[in-house]
Amino acid sequence: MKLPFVVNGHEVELTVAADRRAVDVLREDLALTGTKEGCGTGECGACTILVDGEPRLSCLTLAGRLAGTQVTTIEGMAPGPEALHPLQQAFVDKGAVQCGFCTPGMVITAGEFLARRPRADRQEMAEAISGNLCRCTGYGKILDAMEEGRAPAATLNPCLPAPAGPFAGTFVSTSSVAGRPVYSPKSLSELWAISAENPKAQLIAGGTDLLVWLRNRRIDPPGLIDLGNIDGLRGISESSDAVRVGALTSHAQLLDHPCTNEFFPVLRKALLSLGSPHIRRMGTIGGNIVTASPAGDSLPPLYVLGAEVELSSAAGSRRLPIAGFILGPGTTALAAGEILSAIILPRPPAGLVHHYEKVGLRNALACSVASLAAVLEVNADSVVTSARMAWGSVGPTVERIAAVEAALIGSTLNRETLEKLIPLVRNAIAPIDDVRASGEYRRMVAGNLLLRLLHSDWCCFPDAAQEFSGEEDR
Amino acid sequence: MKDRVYQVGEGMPKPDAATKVTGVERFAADWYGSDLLWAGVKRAGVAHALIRAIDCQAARQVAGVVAVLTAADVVGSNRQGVLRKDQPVLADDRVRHCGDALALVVAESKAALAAALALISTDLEILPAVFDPEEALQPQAPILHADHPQGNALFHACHVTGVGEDGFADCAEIVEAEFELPRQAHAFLETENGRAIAHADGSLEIVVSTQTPFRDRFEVAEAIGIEARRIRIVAPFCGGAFGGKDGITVQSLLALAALHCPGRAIKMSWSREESFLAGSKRHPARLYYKLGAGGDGRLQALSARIYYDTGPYDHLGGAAATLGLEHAGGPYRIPHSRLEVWAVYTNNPLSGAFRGFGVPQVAAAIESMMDILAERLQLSPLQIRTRNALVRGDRCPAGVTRHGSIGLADCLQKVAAHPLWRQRSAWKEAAGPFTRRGTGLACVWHGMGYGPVVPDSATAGIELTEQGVFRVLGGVVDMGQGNGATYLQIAGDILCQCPGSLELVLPDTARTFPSGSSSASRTTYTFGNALIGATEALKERLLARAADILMAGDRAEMALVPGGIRHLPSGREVPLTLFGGMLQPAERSATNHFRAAVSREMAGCEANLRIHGFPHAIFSFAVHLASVEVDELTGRVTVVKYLTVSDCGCIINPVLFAGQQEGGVVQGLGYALSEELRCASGRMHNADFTTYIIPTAVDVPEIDTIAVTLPERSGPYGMKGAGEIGIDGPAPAVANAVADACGHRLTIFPLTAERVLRALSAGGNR
Repeated sequence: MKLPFVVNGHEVELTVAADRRAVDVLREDLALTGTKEGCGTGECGACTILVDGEPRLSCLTLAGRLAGTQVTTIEGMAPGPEALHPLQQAFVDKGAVQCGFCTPGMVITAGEFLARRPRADRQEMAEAISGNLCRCTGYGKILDAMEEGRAPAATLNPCLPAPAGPFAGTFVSTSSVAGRPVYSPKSLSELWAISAENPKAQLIAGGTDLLVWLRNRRIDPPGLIDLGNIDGLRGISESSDAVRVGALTSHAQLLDHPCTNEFFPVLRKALLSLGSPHIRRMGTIGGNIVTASPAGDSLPPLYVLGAEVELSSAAGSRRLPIAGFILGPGTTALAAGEILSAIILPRPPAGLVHHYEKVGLRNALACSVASLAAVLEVNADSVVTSARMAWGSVGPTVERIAAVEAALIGSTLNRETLEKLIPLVRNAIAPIDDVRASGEYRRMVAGNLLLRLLHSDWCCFPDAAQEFSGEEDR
Repeated sequence: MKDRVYQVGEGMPKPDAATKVTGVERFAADWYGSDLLWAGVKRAGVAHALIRAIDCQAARQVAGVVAVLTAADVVGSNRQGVLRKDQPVLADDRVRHCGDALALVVAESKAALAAALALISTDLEILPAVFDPEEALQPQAPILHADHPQGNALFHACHVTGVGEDGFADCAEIVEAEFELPRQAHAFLETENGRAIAHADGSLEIVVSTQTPFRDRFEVAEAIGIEARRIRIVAPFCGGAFGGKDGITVQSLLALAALHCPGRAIKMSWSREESFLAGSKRHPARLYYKLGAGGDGRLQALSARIYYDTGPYDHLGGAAATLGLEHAGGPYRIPHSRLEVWAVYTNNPLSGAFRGFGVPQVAAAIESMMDILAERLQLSPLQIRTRNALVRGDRCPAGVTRHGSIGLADCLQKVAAHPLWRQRSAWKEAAGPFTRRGTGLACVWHGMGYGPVVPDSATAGIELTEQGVFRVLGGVVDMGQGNGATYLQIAGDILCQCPGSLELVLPDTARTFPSGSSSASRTTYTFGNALIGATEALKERLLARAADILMAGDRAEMALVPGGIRHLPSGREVPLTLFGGMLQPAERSATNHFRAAVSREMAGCEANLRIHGFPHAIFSFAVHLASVEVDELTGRVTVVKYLTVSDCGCIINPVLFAGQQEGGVVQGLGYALSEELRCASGRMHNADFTTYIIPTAVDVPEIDTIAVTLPERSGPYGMKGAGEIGIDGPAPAVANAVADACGHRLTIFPLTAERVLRALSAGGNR
């Protein structure tokens, strides 16, 4: 395909296979080797570039997605050939560079973040770079550099194109131009036509899972249909009783929307734990649902919020509750020619307790080992009057345990109540062993997580707190 | 910054930071070339097998495939290795682990390469395999290398000091425990890669991400059967290495491909998954310890039996085991010891050099033992360590007299006075709900250099160019630790110049001098000593010649100043830009060779130990402290604060020094808490960045780094090695902190949430 875009202020037009990765096009065809590849699976962040000013993992970006965009690579970040961006200077001065291989992605990521959030604190800075692995520094000096290198937002805009000058890149195309076709419908009607003609083509939304599966040959479809240009699949709209979220809404867009914080704190907390800032920006809520992984971070909150999914096809659309849509690991109720087009979230009443906890093997870039989402109604006497709870990663799909919910309703929310429920939880689930944890560990933790309801961020019950301090003194 | 004169002792920025932060620094991975070919490897995928046949016919038919090569195409020895050359470039008769290379494909595109690799079929006769080092030593175990006289025992040594185990007879308290340390992946971000070209004149140029360019040259030459002088190895900055690029990775394969495709640039870059599969890892180890002390808390006797799993090939396994033996007793006085180590062949993934080199394993064991013993003796962890800490003139637990500088007592005093130690009880009591808190210590030490037999030497070169720039010929690879920058700082200090007047030539067998590997905490010590001599010699000659040119009375009236040489009595100056052009090339350059002094002590040891590096002469020391929180509901361990107090001699660049400690600590915290390549039947189950868990920016504590700047007289400006010691402490410091927090001692590392929760459940509540 013809691929016109602007890179570091220079217009280029390449002829490339549409299913190539952006990182390869930049490095191999344009000789912009400042963008590094460390893993190819979106975990390390070394390949981070800016596309229209937003960070993107170029190893999980199809080349075709660069068409018509403004791309900034590390080579375009400095204001001139002899000058450094203030953040680059701070990386130099603070000893934030050791081997330097993570540095380009780190600087791009940190620069974009500080341009938006110049007054961020150190913890927020650490979270901002939590999708960029550094194996040399231990991160402390990188955070020192971020503190040093922030400046008023106006002077810190890495999205600005580099000053015009001789273009550093060269054209050394090393690959054939015949790859797997990538179709880019602009509307749902175009999509239905393309899908009908290419029934075996794979739909691609954010690509954060799909490009990894293509890499490890878990899938090998004859073509790809990129949903990224269908505006009708994006956007968040509110009505009096529900919020409709377009399936292509990214996790980051959902997090940034005021309604998430106002109505769905349980979902917000789950999304904040999903992947890394990069993955949240690229991955979509629809993708997270359709992947139907029991470890999908958005799923337990969607279950407890009573979400419905909207499925569309050339024939029209239908709705299913989320629990009816997800049938097993990787299996959904999607029919041939059907896509997940939106998620409908009923507005919960005000005053509920929203609780979410994910147990992963680290604090970012962590697949859930077990998780618990809960939405409870608790009255002034600390008695639970309604309860919806869902566990992730402890069974083939997200698990709601009716007996536990029933037992909790009508009880006082205290340690004694919750401890009685722990065996009920453990007996109701049959988690499996995998590379992250044993089934036995998941079973133990799934029960234990109940106790955290006493100290949830979203709840403050004077009675429960008093009881707890009594426990400690015992 | 460019106009600030270099001074030793200042935290000056690295010159290469500027080129790395703009993306213009060219790593090996960034070398392409027009008309490029791609090379890749078909790997075995089984742990142990005889190779009956490798069918490459279908692969050769793929459009765009230029060559498909097997062991039959290798003219040389087809063997690589440092001490024992036992690793084939391409497997000939036998597969010994899943990552063994069976065939090499060269193709016009990555797509053709992938297609061809998928079409290579193999006929393998699966053999019984062995995956446990102790089982591998049993008589019935399958043998990996029939030509090795000791069977699967690649290396074995037993070293006894004092009365050995009879020393336990007089002990008031004796404790015993068994430890398991995991297989850790280096996880450098730049995977193994390189680019080779066979030129028309018969020379072979390989640009490669390596720590060992000069050694690689001879290894490649022998393995593929060409003369070493025809091979040029160019070693750019490594995008991380940590020992994983100490030795051959892609070099011989690329050389072989290039010889078969002359005139074409050939690139090989391992994917992350291939890096896990075929690259080396830290040796997993099982350790059996017994430690005894008198009632006064003075250590009396130690017995340690240590098994390092070297995987299918030597790859410095014997040397790592030897360093483990030397450090097995910690930095203490123990008069009686019996130390026995093995490095054992198994069909597991390849083990090899990794920052720490056999020491993190033993440090985890002995430092856990010290806390177990302290508890029995009702001493605090600090008391027992202070009471037994080595001082100059002592014999260490391996029986060697320690006469280099020892700042351990200072380190312990600084920890004792630190708020994290002094306020640990109050902090522990203030733990929040479902949280337990604890504080742990570890005393560590790390020997520097190659030991008594293999020459630890370097030849530094420096020249004043015709244009008036000082050019340092750096012979030791910079893999990120900043030794290259330190060389410029040393030369710039002696010559009183600013960064703009100095440049560094990176290691290149055609341009710089053999100076050994970037390893063993030696890069600044050994090369720095060589460079001081070269720079001083050049300086003397330049001042003398400048005195001639300015008709000065003598050289003593002359001084180097930034950008020039000044005649002090008159104030006249000759700029370097002019001066450089006035001199003949030979008079404006100097070289100097330095070989590190070694321990002359025999300490009653076997010759085998000496060849493998025992004993060392100079050691760095450190005390680490970890403050942890353990979550009772999940077992999750969070390191909240971390302190290192280190004696690495005087510090040439405090920013780089702190960076080495912090980076080592975080890599060590990964080793302590989450990093473990899990294998079953020789196959790795978490060989990618999704499931192999290294720390992110939100997983690391605040780290306080303190240096005890006690001069080591033999070191350049009083420094000692600082690159490895940071990784020795975290595993035991964290384990001791977790034990303090939970009352449970975990001896299987890493201390995953699952292991901790199991211990908490088994032990019940406090």
